[in-house]
Amino acid sequence: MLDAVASTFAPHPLIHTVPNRRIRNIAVFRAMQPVLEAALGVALPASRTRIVHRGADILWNGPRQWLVLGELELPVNRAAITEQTDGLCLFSVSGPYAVTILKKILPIDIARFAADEVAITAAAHIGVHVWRQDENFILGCFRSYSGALHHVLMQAADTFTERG
Amino acid sequence: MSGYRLATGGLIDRARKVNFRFDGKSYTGFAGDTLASAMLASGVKLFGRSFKYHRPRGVFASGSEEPNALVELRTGAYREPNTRATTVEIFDGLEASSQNRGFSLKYDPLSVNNLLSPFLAAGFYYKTFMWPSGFWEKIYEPMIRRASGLGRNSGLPDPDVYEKITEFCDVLIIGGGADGCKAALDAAAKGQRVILCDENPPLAKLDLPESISFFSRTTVFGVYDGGTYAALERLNDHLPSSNAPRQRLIRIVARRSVLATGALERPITFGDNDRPGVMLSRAVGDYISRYGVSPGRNILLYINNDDAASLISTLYTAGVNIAALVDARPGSSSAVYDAACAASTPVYEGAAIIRAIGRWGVKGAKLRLSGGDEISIPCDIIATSGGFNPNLALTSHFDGEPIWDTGIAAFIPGKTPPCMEVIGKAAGHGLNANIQPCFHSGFFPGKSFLDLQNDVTVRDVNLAELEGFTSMEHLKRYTTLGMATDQGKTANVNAIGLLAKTLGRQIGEIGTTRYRPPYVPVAIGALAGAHTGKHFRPTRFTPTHEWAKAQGAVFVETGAWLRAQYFPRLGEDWLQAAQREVDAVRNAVGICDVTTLGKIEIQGPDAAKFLECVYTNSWENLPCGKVRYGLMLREDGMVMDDGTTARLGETHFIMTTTTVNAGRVMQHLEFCAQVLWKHLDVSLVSVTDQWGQIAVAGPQSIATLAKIVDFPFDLSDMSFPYMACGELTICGGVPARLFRISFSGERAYELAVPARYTHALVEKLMEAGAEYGITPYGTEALGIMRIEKGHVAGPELNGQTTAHDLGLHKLLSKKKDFIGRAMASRPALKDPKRQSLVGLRSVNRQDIICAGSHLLPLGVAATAVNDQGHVTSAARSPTFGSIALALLEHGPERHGETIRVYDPVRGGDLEAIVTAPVQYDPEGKRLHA
Repeated sequence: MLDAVASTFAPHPLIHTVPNRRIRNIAVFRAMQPVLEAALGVALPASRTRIVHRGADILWNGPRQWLVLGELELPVNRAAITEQTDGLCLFSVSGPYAVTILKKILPIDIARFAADEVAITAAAHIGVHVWRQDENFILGCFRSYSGALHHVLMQAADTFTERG
Repeated sequence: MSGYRLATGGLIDRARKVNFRFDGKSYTGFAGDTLASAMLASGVKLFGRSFKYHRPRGVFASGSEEPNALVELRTGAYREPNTRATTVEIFDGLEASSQNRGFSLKYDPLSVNNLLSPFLAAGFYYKTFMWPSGFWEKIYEPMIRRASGLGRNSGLPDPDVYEKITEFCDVLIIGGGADGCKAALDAAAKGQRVILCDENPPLAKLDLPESISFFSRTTVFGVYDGGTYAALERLNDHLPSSNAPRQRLIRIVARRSVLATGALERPITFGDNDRPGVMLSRAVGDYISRYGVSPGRNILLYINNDDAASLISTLYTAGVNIAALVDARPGSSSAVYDAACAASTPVYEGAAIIRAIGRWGVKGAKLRLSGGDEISIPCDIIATSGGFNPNLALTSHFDGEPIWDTGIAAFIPGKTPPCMEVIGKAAGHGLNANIQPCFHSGFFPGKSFLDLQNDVTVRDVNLAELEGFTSMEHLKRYTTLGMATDQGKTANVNAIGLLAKTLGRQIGEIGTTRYRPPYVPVAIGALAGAHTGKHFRPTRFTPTHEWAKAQGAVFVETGAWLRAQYFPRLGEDWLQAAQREVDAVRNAVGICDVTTLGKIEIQGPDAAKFLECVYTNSWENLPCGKVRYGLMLREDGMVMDDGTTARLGETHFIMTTTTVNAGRVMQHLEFCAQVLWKHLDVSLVSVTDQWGQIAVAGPQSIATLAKIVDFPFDLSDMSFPYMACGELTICGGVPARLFRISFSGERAYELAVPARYTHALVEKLMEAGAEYGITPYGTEALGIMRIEKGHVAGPELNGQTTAHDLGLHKLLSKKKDFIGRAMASRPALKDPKRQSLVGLRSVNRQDIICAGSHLLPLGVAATAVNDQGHVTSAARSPTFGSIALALLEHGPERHGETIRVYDPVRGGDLEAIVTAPVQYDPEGKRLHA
């Protein structure tokens, strides 16, 4: 076997890398959504939302596509299933200043970002998925951008300024 | 009264003294002072020199509309020019200096311009510096720019830190005066989320509900689409320099906005009205009530409306002497007259100030009385009010045209940006009581300034009118009226009034120029935010980046990616390294990280049909387990991108794109799938980052791979021939995909593994190929080999080349439709005269062909008329010497011809032989070697 090498990032009290979970993209074939949902035992989340099902996160990911994070048995021949475990890198931003930090890099209304909400947007020119896990905000980007996104997050956290 | 500071009053903190320096001299003010108020308190009148004539200038206003008192703040790389002294909050250690002057403010040799002023009227430069024409760019313009103008740029990278944020709200209130605060509270009471922005420092701790976010020191400077507003918050400009962000650009997204920006005063124009000591009357009141500073001790008022009534009582209460009140109206109003009587101030009704007396500061004013007599009155300040202009600049950012309201003699907002409401004085309410418009006193033969910042005089406007510049937009560009940092906030309306009078037309017919963003100057650094230097755009790293770094690789930017360019050994230059790497691939085996190529999974029952639509060649007949080269056109028939696509299953393809076009192709495919052919059941997923992909190329590639593929995968040519693909495991169970494709022209494979294994994979490959001399190679070697093989890449896919131009016309299927088919078949795009792809080889082996060189027939002049094409990609081949790919007129018919390769930029001029694009192994035998 070959050794797996994960990217390492400088530690920060507010910004953490999220431990690897399996990530798959499912793109449902036309007219197969009811069949797929029946097999999964859950309705797939509507646009811009997320659900947790049998311990896995299911995130809306564009028209007829979802990201599945975690081990969840997916039926075959109902959807195109694409492995993305190595394709995405996830960071979590937490703490009382999380919203202030994220305001600096996200063009979305992060102060009113609900727990079941998902956004596909850009952080400092980097395409990102954003969602919330309890009080942690998760940002996912393509692996090759992870160094750049981590830098942006660190900078936003380090140059934190109070108003007034 | 000590100096000009009043004994009481103002919102300053008299317990906290603040020391600062201006032009090297120390001054003391109080916390809460602006640079302008603190210096006025110290008795300073002279703040700067004017733009063109270098005339002495003092403070004119009290806010961001200030046209005169522009200063440079801080020193060295931190220097910031053109800051309005009226908006600078002082702090201990502040360093400020005057600008646009000679040795000192007092002694400025360029004030000779004032004596030469009869020659320096509007349009002077364009009329005078015409001959010889070549002098304009190199001599005249730089000279004029040095002599005139504003502050100096530091010329160094901006070391300050800036921030950008995005805020959302239901209502944005622009302006924190009484109207703005009331609107904010009303909206908050309805449960709305409110942002309240005010340009000034907070006067007191406001007790606002939580749903109101109050941003002080914040100027909303632009209105954009979709309810987006741009604002600049001056976070730390009022504090000594630190590493904290200096300014913050706020992008505000609001459902609706309320403009409560109030009104700005305009002066009445008279002779020498630019002398230090001529001020707006409201500004005089501001300095007294906000800062406890009286700009003078003997103040003359010159007015045409009732607003001055309150100033009279302010001055009287503060114990400042009022020399007289000159009311331009034939009969003063009772409001003003009564206030003046109460202050025992003489009133001259129907009178006009002809000129200010005094050079370095106002010493008096010359009046023409209603009867025609002229008298002089001593004073040290002339406070003038020609009425107020609603501060409506933001309403015209969506091309709204302000409307002239004759009732208040001012422009009021016309069509406003979507969802913007204008309230209070900004809408023209409660302004200019009993006003009788007076834009210019007349009478004076010397200079009367309309635009103080740009030195535009009454005479300039008259001259422009005589020369036919009668539209305001033309007048502005001819005279520079209303340009620069203040956007003519105190100047424009008087000029419009004057022009209307000269033309005998109504002001409403003339109209104003449109105000454009930004409302106040914004540092470029604030617009850039954190995106500076290397972080101007994100960098993408390959999964073998750390490994390549450890091998001593030199990296190159390709799009956003950093790729290994070459791997130099001790003493090698780039060329030696690249040629050694080529030799290794040609004779043994090399490896190269090709992860950066775009990888798109195309899946679904209609995947093959979808590919037929986007590619020019056929796909439904591609068997599973095979790879095919594909060509993609744009709608206009030009080549968009190329690459190989593999069929992993009946309904499963994986497409590769060029590195640079990966994003564009993905976007194009999404558009095709979501918009053009919605009926096709197909999905697109980018897996560029999921898979790390390594090219293993060279005759020993098969032997190297044989050591790592798991049983029973068979690499033999019988079961895995050229253009085969398959899924397998390697190294005892790592999932992988193998493609037998070649960019180098040698037997080659591309092996993809989940990205996390790529680092270990290259180490494993190096170990497996060690006995064959395996060598990592970079983009330089890759480039040499692809040019030897005539493969097109970015420089050839330049958006202007067709399939015919590139010799790829055989890939244009005649049996089906595809994007770009109709346009690509236009006769002009198939014209053999078009520049098409050829190879070049220098005649003398020591000559080096450079990319970008032009191609000419032998024996003709190097002119654009004789130009027949250009070199797109050049390489130093270890086999052939200097070779290139080029686009040449009638290219395919000219193989064997000798042509001239001319490079005027780098001084190259050499001869080359035209060849077929494929110079290395044209039969392709080595693909199977």
